[in-house]
Amino acid sequence: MLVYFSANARDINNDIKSYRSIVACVQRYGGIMVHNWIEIAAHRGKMPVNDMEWWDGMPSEAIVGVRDADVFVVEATGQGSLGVGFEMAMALIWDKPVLALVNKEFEGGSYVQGIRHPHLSVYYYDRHNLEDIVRHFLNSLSSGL
Amino acid sequence: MVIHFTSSRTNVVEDLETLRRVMGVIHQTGNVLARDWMEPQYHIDVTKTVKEMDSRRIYDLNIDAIERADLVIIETSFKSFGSGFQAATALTRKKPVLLLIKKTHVENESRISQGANDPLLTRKVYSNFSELEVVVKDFIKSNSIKTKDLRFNFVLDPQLYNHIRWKSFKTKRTKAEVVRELLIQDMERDR
Repeated sequence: MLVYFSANARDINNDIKSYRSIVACVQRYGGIMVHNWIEIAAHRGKMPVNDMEWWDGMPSEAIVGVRDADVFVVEATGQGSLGVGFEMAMALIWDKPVLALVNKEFEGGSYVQGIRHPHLSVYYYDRHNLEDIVRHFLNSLSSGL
Repeated sequence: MVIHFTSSRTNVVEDLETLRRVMGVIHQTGNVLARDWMEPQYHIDVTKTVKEMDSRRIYDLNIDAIERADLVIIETSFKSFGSGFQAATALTRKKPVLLLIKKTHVENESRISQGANDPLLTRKVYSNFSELEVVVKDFIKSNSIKTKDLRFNFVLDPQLYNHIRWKSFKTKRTKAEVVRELLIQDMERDR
């Protein structure tokens, strides 16, 4: 099962642990990451915020990644970013099942809370329930793919 | 024309002057807003006496606004998942989209704004209110559509012409009606 993970890349310096936890859960339950930009950035030895060369290729690769994936997982806490919103809209338009994760501890909620779409599942997570959420979501899809 | 203008909801108070400038251009050029939400949002944020609208209702109103709009303009200087979602939604509904960003905020701009490749997507950077107004006016002008029907000529090869002529005879409709129906069917398929 090919999975594309979307999150606000400009927050990666602060949120890398959280992003990596989500990716690790996905991989443990059979997900193969498409365009795993988090680890690409990590292996380059620097976070992408100031890496203009890395940034330049990202938009087209991201959209291709969304298109090629079977499943779209997004860290959707708070205000998010235009890029994440764009990618998620494309995922829904292309009828991908979407798992939107919103951190329970954040008070500001998320725009995803208002979106109504049959392929969208929104879950509130913390470090205790994240694995269960991802496992349940991916397992529920496995029989259908 | 109907124009849907949107931006980050949480930055309306901070950026109100910019947003008012854009709305001013939209009105001055004889167009209407699909959804006039910014002034109410400002009052909600400032007075704090009115409850925020339910997020599902906001989403429904935005999608409805995009459906009704002829053009979509998005001020993207501040982070906004909703702006990106609406931009993609508008583009897939074949609406011309203008992304605006202040020059002072380009460094923090979402890269997808710069890299997304769509002929209907225009991205413009502005340094001051004068430039902003010019950019918005130009976008509106270049995408203006008349409300009355348009007429144009197009060239057909004999095979295509004969097919339309045959279809016209068979269905007892004019050739123009046959072509219009084919276009409508194609539009419906693309939706």
